[in-house]
Amino acid sequence: MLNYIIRRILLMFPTLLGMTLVTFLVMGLSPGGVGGSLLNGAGTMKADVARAQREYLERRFGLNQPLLVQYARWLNEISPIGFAVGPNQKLGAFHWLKKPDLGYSFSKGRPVLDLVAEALPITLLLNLITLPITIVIALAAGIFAARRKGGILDLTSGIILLGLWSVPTIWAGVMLIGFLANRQYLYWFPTAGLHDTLAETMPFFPQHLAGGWNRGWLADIGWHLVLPVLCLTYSGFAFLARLARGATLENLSSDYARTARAKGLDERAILLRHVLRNSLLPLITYSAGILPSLFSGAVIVETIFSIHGMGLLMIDAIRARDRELVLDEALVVGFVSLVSYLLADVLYAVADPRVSYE
Amino acid sequence: MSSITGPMQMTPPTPAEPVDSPSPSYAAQVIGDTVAQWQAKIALAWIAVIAILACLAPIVASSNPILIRIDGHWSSPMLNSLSWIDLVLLVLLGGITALQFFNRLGIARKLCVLALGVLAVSCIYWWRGPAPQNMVYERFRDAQKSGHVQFVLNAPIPFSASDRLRDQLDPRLMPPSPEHWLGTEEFGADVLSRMIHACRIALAMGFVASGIAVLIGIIVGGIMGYFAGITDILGMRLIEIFEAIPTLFLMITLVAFFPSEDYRLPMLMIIIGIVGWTPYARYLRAEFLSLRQRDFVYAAQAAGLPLRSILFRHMLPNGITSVVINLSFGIAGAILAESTLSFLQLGVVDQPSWGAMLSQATGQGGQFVWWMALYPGLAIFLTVFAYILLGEAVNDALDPRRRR
Amino acid sequence: MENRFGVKDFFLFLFLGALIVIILLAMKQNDRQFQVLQAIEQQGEDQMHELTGLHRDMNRLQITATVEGAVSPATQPGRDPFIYQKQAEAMPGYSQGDWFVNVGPNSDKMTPFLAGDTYAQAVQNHVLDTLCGLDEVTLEQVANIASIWQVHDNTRAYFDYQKSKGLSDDQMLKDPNAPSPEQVTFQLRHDVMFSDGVALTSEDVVWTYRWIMNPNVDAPRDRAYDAKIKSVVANGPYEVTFTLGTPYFDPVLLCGGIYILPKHFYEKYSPDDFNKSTGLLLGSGPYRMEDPTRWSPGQTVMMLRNDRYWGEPPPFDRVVYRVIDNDLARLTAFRNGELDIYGDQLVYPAQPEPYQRLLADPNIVARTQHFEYDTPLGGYRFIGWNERQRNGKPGIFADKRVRQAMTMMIDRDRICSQIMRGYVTPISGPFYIKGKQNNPDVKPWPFDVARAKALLKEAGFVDDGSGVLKEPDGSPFQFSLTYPSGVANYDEMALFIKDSLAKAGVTLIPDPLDWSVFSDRLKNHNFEAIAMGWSATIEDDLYQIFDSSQIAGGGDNFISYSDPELDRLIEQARSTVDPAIRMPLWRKCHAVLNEDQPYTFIFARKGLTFLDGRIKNVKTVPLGLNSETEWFVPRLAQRWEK
Repeated sequence: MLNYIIRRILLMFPTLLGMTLVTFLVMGLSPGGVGGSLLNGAGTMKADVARAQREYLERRFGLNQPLLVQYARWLNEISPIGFAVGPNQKLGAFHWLKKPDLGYSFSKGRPVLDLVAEALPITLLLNLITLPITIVIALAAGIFAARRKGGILDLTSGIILLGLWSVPTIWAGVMLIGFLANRQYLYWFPTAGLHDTLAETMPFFPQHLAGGWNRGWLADIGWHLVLPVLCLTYSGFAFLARLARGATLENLSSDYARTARAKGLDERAILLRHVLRNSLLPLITYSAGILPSLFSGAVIVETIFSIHGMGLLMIDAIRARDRELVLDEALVVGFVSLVSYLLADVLYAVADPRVSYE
Repeated sequence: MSSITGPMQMTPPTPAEPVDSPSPSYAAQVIGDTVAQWQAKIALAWIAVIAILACLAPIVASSNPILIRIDGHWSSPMLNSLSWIDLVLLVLLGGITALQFFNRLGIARKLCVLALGVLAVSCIYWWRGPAPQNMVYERFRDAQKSGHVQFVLNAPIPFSASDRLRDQLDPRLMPPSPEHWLGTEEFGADVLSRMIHACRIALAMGFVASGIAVLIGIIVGGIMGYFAGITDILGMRLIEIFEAIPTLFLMITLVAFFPSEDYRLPMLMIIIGIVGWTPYARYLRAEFLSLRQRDFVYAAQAAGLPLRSILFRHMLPNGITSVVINLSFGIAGAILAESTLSFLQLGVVDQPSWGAMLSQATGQGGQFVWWMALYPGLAIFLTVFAYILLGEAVNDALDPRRRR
Repeated sequence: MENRFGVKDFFLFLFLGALIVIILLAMKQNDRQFQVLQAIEQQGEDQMHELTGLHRDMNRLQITATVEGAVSPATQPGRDPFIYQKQAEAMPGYSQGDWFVNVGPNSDKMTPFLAGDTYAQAVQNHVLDTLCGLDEVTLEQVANIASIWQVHDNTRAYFDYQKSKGLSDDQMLKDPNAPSPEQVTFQLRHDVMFSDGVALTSEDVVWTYRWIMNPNVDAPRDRAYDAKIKSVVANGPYEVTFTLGTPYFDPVLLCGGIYILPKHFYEKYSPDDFNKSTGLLLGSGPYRMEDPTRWSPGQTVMMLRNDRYWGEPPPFDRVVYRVIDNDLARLTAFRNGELDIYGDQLVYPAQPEPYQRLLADPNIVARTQHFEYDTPLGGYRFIGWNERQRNGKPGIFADKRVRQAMTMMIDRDRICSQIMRGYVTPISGPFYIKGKQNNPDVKPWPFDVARAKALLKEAGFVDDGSGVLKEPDGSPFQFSLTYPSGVANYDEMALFIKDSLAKAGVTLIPDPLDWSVFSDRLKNHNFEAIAMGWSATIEDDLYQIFDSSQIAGGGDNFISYSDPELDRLIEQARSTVDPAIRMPLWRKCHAVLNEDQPYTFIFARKGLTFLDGRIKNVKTVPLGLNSETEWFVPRLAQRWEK
């Protein structure tokens, strides 16, 4: 098993390399230079300074060099062994151990590490809240359907789940915002973002202040998260619910369940104490594999709800052709994907000792 | 492709019993089993509606009257404005419908009839000349207002997809009314008309994009599965790379390659195809890995048949089941991908698309335009749902273990 | 049964995880409170320092009072820069206090010169000072930190030398013997102090200039703009002389518009640290940042009144810029009463549609005030006709008549009234409509399709009745209009123009592009017609955009327009320091541009702003809206806490 894990981890490197290379090449070969950062708020440019700005950026960040050279420089930057790089792209001495540096995003003017450190927790927050909720609902729905196998409720719930799976995220997001977060209709939820305008001045928990009832920071962020999480969960649990249903059915007709029934245990106890645990395992293993697609699904949600997570950062980076940001983000997202696939496979092997990867 | 919007399809492939040569009766049996299920019937009905609308779009929704008499001249502006694609689609629709009544003719004969029809229509088109490039849609309404028209027979929905009602003062974002059943959109065009014309893009996207994906997937997966060894390892890395790249980002970047309006639609299809071939490659590779040890393959190799023949004439029909199972989901995914790209305003500008219309639902001023959110979204949803139901039905038909 | 990892454990872990997260967040909240406490403490300390400093100063004043007051004669009498503010203070009900809550997008930097967007500039305007200010009514320079200045016009000698040696402008810059064309000497006030108590002297001015010119500092825009200045020399603690290297028509504007940074504060940072910093902002302006070193993106910008300000104290106790990135959310926040202003021209101009919707809401109108005004900050939108094809040969738009015809076929008035809902001004040239460069005698071309078609016929186009005009070489007349995608109203405008041109037989193909791709095409001159906007200033230099020397080498004359007469006029104007001679030259340029139509000028944006009703003395002035320092909130209406 350990052998297998090590082999997989080693294989991750060429995959990550290839993936970042492909992403970068596609972006680099496509038309468009550093234009993104020349635009100002009103959508206009200032004539005399635009050119100077562009030339400066190109010189300082070496944006005119051949693509492969730029890629090699980036590799050099993020690896712990390599050349030190001085200002204006001059190569320094070769070190056997140096600090990997994620680089500097020229379109945002800040180190990439800061940007990623700000955006990653938000995306993770969205996804990690979504996942347990999805699993719980999927399990419940799956068991519900399995209990009434063949009946009309089973059929209907199956169709409903398929229907939910086909609802496009863009439609769900727009409808939810339009009807539930709009002053014209119901204003139950906030329009956008993760925080209220006055969130910084809020205390942590809901309480009564001089100016009236104050929601509190924790409840405020929860209130902002309801709609985005709703958009992310519904598409996930259709697939998982079917899985749960299949797993539950299989377990309900297995030998140990039959034995438990013979012992005199009632259906409910069997379900809760034995079958539930075994049905949960395939769900967890599969959901580890779903994590990467949750990342991409979150992009649409982030765009619609204006939440500044990794997805929006990546879109900004591509729009501005920001080399460092695109490469680093691709690296992070790719790394998370591959790790979660590995995790899924490992969990699968742990859950089912019959599976062997040797 | 479904990874853009939903969970990845991780069902392990369940190969059906392999046979030594493609058997038409087997395929017919599968189709029959599929269609027998009631959810497949509903799904096919909806898809048929969309397909018919797509073919009939220029006739059903057009600002050009079917027949008009201006100052004593009879003319049919609608017929004059049909493009080659429009004519071909109409002939195909007519031909397929008519041929339903002639069951005794074989498939080959039916195809011949259809091909002849297309040829005939092409000749008519060549003789008539191309459709006018600059459409001034309101000229017939203006002519009516100024009294030059003696007789007019309009299309059922008398608005074209690009008719922005320039003869009216401010036709933008009007709510549904007896005149415009689904209202007007941001630039003034009639929503129902645009939705009908958008059926074409949706269907075309679905078939062509998944077709491209299937093609690439089959070729890559087949080669990987057949040769195994180092080819397999390299191929798996290639697949992993493609899967690890966030699809939406790849699409956004690729769109920049094809900025010109004319080429955007075909390029969207290619992009979605390129981004979505990996699942098919995986399935086929798994199938071929097991099939390559079979006797009939050894026989074919011993007989000295060319590689192309072994792979695609002998092995493919046996391994195709898992690809077919997922084809429907793939088409659904392609339609969703196109809608998402159009929603993010990376798609076409003037040509109608459900996703692009959906993006107009939240206006700049913050008002929510419910008819732009509900109807296009509903259209996308129903079409995707139809394909998914169809996919499920095919799944059930091919794998009896899954039936209840 | 063995103790396998089961459902219970899963939920247990989840619960533990959530607990840990909540604890961490609580600690963060605690942190924030701690910071607030610290700030309060700091303020107390500062006030203490202030008091002791005042004591000292009072002692010294009695000694130096007699020396003060000697001002050298100058051509420009320094006018009181606070004249309008003092008028506001004399109004009944005037009182200081209250906060002014504005909003900005999620900016990445507040450090001066690094930031590219105008939002940071708006914040910096509150905290930093320039040598000269701008009178919002007369649009002329007035004194600020500099009380008086002298301009030494040496352009004659410069041009003579240049002609005699036959050098280009760049070569003149490098030649050590070349006479400098202009020199401006500023006399600084003696009482200017930065918000931390250190006096502002000429040393700071010189240091700021050197800092901008340092190639390792990430300030390419300012560096390019200030590259015309050859040197900055301090003569004594309160006198600075700027020497220009290339002639510029308004040297006072050029030199007097630079933000003066405190040397003692910024010299601690290396260029690299400076570049990487996000919020280093300390100055001598009417407001100061709550903490001049510690601002990071995403935080609300909180500015307090600078108690050590050398001029008239500004009315608001605090000016706050909240962070809301989404346009819709900003609108909602304004509706909810969380913001005092919507549509700040410098930060995030309001679009016509949301503005109109706000107007349509009686509740909003009742408690707010709104303004529509002309301002140069809005910029102008135009369609540029590329006169050269990709292969270098002249294109279809090289013929002046074709361009004039295109302008006449586009109903600009209808674009202004319908698409932009009347919240823009139709224009005929690139100058600010209320500025002195604008030529009021130049009338925009009318919307006249018949006349346009006649012109086209004259130019060789053939109308063969097929509904499509044919170019002189027989191909159908069609072209693509390239514009940035995702910017408001461009799609609508392009489709409108497409439909109007279709009536005349011209086919327009809309070509929206992502901004990055768009600017690339612009740079390579790879387009047929382009629609975009330039932002404008009080006095615009046409050189970059319309001079024929700017066609090659990455200049901004990407339509390859060339007119020798215009070149001559521009050159003359740029080197004339006297506005009485210069302005008529610009006006002649305006007339030439109108005749040649290299651009079809469509409209200039108006400023659209909504303000909370409790703020008094807000009015429109030739520059736009009057300065924030003239507004006030009567005591009884003050809302935000002190």
